[in-house]
Amino acid sequence: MKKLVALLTALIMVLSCTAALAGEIVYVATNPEYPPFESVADDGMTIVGYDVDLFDAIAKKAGFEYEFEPMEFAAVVNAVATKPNTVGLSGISITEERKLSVNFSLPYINAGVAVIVKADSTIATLEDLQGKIIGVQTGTTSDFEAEKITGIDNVARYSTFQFAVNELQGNKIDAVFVDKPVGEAILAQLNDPSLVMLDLEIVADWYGIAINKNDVELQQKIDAAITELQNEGFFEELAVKYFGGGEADAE
Amino acid sequence: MNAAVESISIFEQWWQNIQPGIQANTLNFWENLYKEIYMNVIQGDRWLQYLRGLGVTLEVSFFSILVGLLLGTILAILRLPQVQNISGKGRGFLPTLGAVIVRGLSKFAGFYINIMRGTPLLLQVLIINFGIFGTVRMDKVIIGVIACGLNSAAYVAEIVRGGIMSVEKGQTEAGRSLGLSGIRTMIYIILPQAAKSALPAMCNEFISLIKETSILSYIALTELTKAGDYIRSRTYSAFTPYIVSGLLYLIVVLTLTWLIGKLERRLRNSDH
Repeated sequence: MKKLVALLTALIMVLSCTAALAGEIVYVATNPEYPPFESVADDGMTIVGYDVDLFDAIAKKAGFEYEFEPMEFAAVVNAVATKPNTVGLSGISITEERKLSVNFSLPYINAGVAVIVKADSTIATLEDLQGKIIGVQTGTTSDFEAEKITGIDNVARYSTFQFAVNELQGNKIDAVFVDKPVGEAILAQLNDPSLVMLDLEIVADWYGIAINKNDVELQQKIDAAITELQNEGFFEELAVKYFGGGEADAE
Repeated sequence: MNAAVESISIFEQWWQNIQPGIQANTLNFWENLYKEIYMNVIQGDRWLQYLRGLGVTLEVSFFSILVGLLLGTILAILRLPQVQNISGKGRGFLPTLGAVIVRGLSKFAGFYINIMRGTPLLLQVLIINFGIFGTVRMDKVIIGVIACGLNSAAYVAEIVRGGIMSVEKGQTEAGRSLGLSGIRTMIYIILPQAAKSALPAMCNEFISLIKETSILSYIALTELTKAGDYIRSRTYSAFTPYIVSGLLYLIVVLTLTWLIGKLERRLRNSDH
């Protein structure tokens, strides 16, 4: 019996080693509930989105196959940390805390807080925003940041950020703080030339692909692919596809 | 202000005194209550947020009630049968024209009441804020007063009309036979009596209005409900901030009920 177990263990080890060495299949841990980055398509099976398109391009460049493993967002980083040959692709913000358990690829998009103002507004810097009325969605990062900048009484808190954008269009508030990709999507959809987005670097919130600390080779491949895609202008294409032509922010 | 700061430190001391006995995840009901109250009311002077919200709610409610009463009374008078069927025939050109205008206004009053009572206040607030005043930068309190006041006027109109119609016809006849004009009879004889019989229903309307101002949180007016919402978004407590807001509403409404009850008793003295 013991021999059988040992044999089986050895067999599994060999098999898993070959799989890892050959780099045949990379498992992609994701939480497909975060459009436009990743969500389940109407057929209820396919996972689609910005991250998926990006990773597909990376996989083609680096020459590996991949398979999705849908899970809770809270479990994604954990899964990457414990399973070799697994990456986390789920709009994961690169944080020092997470860097303790996983490595990150090059950052590929900045999802920090963006500032939307009227095109004819005089606001150009963070100092200009002091004392101005800033519209936000209650309880978001944008809300917290706006309060720090302009003071608690000058933040107009709405139940959704769409209301804040409407108020800005009517010139009733001075600026809107919103998550950058969301802001880009809404600006593209509105197509209102009187609104512009400023990048004041209020909070940097870069997304990266989480990679197991032992998968050094895989990380190099992914980083090389991201750099290559960056040079080819792939991120601009992605931005047009998902955010309707907003600024691409890959580094 | 000093007293306030001191009371916080006392609370904080008291809190810290009970804290050593508390283990994470094993808070009993009372310990949890202390923690919730501390987090949602005491910490960072959060109680000030509730009070400021309460102030805004009272401000909006007071002026909305004024607007509602004034406009509502005018609407009610326009809706009276004797005004609806007014005729200036045979009294020259100007009275005839006046009668036509008044009849038109009366029709409009009926239309207005139907629209205001027939659509949700939330929709009216959104339309007034994002539509009618969509590009006008003004204090959200004023927008709130306009929206709530215009809405309340429709309900007040029906209450006042009911009150006026409950006054016996003989009172009008007495006033007119004493040589008072129709308008003076209305102001000095009919309306005071109407107000008395309409008071309970009016109290009801005021209470509704005070609570309905919570809808203004939709247009980013930081009144009492929004204040609770704001604190919830900071402390992630789903319960306590709303309970505190709710208690403050309750205090306001109970005070109003008590005051109007007193007024009613005083008015009843003139019955005998």
